[in-house]
Amino acid sequence: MHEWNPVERGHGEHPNLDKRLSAYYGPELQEQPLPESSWLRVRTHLGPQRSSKRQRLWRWHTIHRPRLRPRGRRVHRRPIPANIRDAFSRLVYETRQAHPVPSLRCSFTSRRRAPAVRVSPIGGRNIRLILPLNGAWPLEPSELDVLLATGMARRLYMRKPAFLLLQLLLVSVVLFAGVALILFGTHRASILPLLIAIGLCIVISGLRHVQGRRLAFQADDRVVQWLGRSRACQGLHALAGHTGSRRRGRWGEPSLLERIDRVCGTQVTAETERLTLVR
Amino acid sequence: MGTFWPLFGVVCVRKKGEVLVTCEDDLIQRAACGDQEAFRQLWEAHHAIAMAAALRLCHHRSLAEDITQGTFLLAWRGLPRFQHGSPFRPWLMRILYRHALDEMERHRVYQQPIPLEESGEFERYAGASAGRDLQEQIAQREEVRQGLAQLNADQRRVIALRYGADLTEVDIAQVLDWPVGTVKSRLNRARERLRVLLTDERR
Repeated sequence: MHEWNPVERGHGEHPNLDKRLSAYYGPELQEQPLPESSWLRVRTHLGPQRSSKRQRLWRWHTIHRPRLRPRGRRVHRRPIPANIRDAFSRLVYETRQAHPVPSLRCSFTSRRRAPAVRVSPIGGRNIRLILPLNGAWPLEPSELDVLLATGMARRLYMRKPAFLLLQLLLVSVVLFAGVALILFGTHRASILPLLIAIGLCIVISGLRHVQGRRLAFQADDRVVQWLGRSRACQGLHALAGHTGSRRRGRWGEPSLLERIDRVCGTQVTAETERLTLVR
Repeated sequence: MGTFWPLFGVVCVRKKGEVLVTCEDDLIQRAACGDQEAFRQLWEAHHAIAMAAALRLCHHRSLAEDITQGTFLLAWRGLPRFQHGSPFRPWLMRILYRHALDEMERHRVYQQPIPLEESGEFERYAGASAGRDLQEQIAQREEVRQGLAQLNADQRRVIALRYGADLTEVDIAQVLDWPVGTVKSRLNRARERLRVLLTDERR
């Protein structure tokens, strides 16, 4: 029944009765909008979706497949906290993310002391927010906004062809180096291809490092456009407070202090800025 | 920034100079994958109509609100099985009618008088003038309610869907998952019984 067919009234076998019943229910009412609290009540009861058979099979597979990850490294999956989910939804709407809209994954790890955001270079929809497992402090709203907006902005730039091409090149060169190494080991072939492959790996890795930093800075510029410079600055400072005096960034990524320097225009060290720092 | 506009129950988000990003099918697919924001947009587009339909059936505002909320919760759970490409609203309304009829029976709605404020509001919609006409119509509606209270649950269901939701017998059969013949016979028996009850009441 996909068509809506209102019936004609008053032509039944008992016209008087039909009329009285129609009067009892009255005419079709105008729209009756409900207050926001009504939606909030519904939202609190929204549980996980009842999955289809295919999804259940996939879940069974993921539960029962052999674990390849070493046991020592624990990454905990928990439901995304409500404030993070709300902030993410708001940012997706405010920043007008192009289709397919990004989705957020949240994981908790005991190995990190500060929150971080990761985006897969393969070009998926997921933005992964990594939070310290035993972080007792709450994330400040500006800090959360900066983290999420950074993830969205980096995802945007990672989908550009130039970035994807370099990734592809890096993978190809690594494969080439692997094959050259195997050939050298087994057949005592010439060392030249192996040296060329290693040289190419170093060059491409350097390029990847430069490109990664450039991408991070471009993403920061986009974050400033979205959030405004003062809020972006505030969020970065709050993040710096959590990371302490860490000055060096990861490979292909600028450090937080470099980012602050570039976005806010002032070099800020965590220790001098935070007056309430407890040693 | 984009704009929102409801268009025949379809919610669209438009970006400047770019294609439509979000339409109802997309919202449904996202909601079926657990996206609460997408489901919220479906709520925004359809809840007011659902509330109006529930209120017309049960005449109690608080119960109608519960029915509307319950309907959306049922819809949320049922979304992974929703046939994509089908219109959303008829599907939602089918859930609403089933849920409303169950809730009305559970709360024994026909045993309770219609609240005065709801009653007055309905009469205004019906175009009754204030004063004696209004009182007369309220009294007549009370008679019908008492008559309905004496029917069995299945008879009340067909009457509610026929007169309170304006559904055809074929549509009622689909909502209640009964054969069309059963709907017709139950509707006729309910009418006969009500006619007798209301005539006796007049005497």
